Amino acid sequence: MNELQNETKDIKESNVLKRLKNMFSKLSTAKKVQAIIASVFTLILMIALPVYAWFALGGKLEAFTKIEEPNNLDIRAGHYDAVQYFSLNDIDIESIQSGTPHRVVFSVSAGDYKIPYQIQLAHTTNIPFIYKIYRAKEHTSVQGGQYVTYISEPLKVQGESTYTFYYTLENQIPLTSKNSDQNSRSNYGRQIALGSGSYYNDTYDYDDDPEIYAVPIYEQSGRITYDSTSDHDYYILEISFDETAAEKEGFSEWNTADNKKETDMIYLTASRWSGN
Amino acid sequence: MKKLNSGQSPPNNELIRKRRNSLFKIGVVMILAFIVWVFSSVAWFTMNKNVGGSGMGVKVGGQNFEVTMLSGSRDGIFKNPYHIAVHEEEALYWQMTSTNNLINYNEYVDDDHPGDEGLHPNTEGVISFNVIPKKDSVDLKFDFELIGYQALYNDVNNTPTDHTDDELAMTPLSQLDGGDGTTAQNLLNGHILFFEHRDEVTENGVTTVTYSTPICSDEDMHRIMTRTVTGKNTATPINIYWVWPNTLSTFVNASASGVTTIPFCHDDDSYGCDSYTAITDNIEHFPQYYLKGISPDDTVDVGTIGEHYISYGDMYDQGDNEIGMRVHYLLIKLSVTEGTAVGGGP
Repeated sequence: MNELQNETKDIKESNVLKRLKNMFSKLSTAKKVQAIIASVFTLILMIALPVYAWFALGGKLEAFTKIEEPNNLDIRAGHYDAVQYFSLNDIDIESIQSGTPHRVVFSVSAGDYKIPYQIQLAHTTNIPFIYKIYRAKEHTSVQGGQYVTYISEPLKVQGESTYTFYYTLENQIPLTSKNSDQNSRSNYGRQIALGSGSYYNDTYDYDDDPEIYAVPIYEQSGRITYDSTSDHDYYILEISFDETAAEKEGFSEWNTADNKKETDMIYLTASRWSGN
Repeated sequence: MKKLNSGQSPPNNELIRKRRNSLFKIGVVMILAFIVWVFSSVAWFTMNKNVGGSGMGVKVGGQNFEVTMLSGSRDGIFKNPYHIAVHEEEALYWQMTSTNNLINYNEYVDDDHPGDEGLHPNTEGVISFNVIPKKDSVDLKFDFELIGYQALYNDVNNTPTDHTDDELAMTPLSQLDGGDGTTAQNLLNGHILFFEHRDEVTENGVTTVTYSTPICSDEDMHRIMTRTVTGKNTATPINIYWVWPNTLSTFVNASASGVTTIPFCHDDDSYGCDSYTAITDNIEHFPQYYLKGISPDDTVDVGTIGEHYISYGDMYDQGDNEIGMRVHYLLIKLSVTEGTAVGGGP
């Protein structure tokens, strides 16, 4: 500033332009070059800023919505494979009768939040099977005691070397039947509705009466908390055969009603625990 | 510059002085011109930024086009407080109508009428806006980006029993701790699909829906659509058909695994695009957008997916689950700029 004031006095010119011009001419060549470069950059900035803002503006739109929360409870095949691998075929009645029940492994994941849940089992009773569910633990080598062998097909597809898993039988999960009439019809009677006192009892007596064995029995476990030692909870569904079923009281229908059916429907579900 | 440098040993002081004079005059005039130009630009900038209001009056755009909302549209129901928290100032809120929305239109009334709950697998719809060219024809580039957010409440006042004073924090997936959101952010690109066309044919009581011209995500997770819009001062509606397919087999042929679903994209060049190949190419290029548990370096080809559908279909379903667990809210950003159009007309 001092320099500028001195200059002003010396040349005694009131014209701003001339003062500037004189200032400029007094500068050394290097300063002149610097001043010009600085001016050019300033101009570039002045151009660039608004132009950039214009590009950034364009036409901008924003849409916004929610992603609905899924039911984060998965029931799947062994080794947490896709549920398509859960297979109940090849149930060998003869080996069941000789004391080797059919056992299939499945898994349940309660997701990141490990919510408590319950297992539900519904099945028709055309064949007098007995269904039990046990906790299981996964191992990669053969274990002592009773275990179930499971081959993970997806791992085989992906070319993994180890894909056989062994599941040891742990505690049984108690299941409570919700619609059986345990007094008069053993475990195979069914209430039309829970606590209604009305029962399905005949085979197509009337048009609206479903066949007794086609009405599923509905069973539920209690509250289950996750297995903290494993990523997923593993279970074994055990199927055995009730040889004495046909002799039980109230099961005359099984003998008389042309019981040639060989198909049962089994529904296995995991649901969020909503009880107390 | 050369002439200025020659000032080191001036041959003629008068000549140099004249040159400097003219140089200064030109410089000052240029500066003034630039200032005028900048101010006019800023004024124009400010004018277009005023996007407040509702309905048809709302618009954004550059000199050669305007973007406006459908008539009778209104804000989505998740705007306050969620969208507002992540809204970019100069962007326009994309408004919805009862038939043109992202399942974000109907508000909660009571427990029997809980209102819209947002997207989930097996949903589809259309969202639209109008483009008004300010000249006879304008080439436009539409750049879409989907960003997932988690809405978390922080107990800022340290009152654990009182949640009414908790502060909402919207965190984009990319900023979640430990990179927890990376997988879900990738999967948004392959699970929520955009198409330019949707056709519906009903034959013998069976309705078949076909989607054409996918707007696929590129390596930067942007989806680019180009289009030439004609008709000066005429509103042309632009429709974006969105789909969150239920299964991978709805757009990948899995007949080799015995799946009978017919993919909703055809390879017949309808609308000038082999849509089936376009989307399956995108799966092969960016498998991490479609399948959970796969890395970008893994080689995936559509033939193998068809042959081992149980495995790959499951990886897709697990992807749906990952999105559902990680993403609370979804922001769709659209930027419309002028650019060279190569795509078809509306």
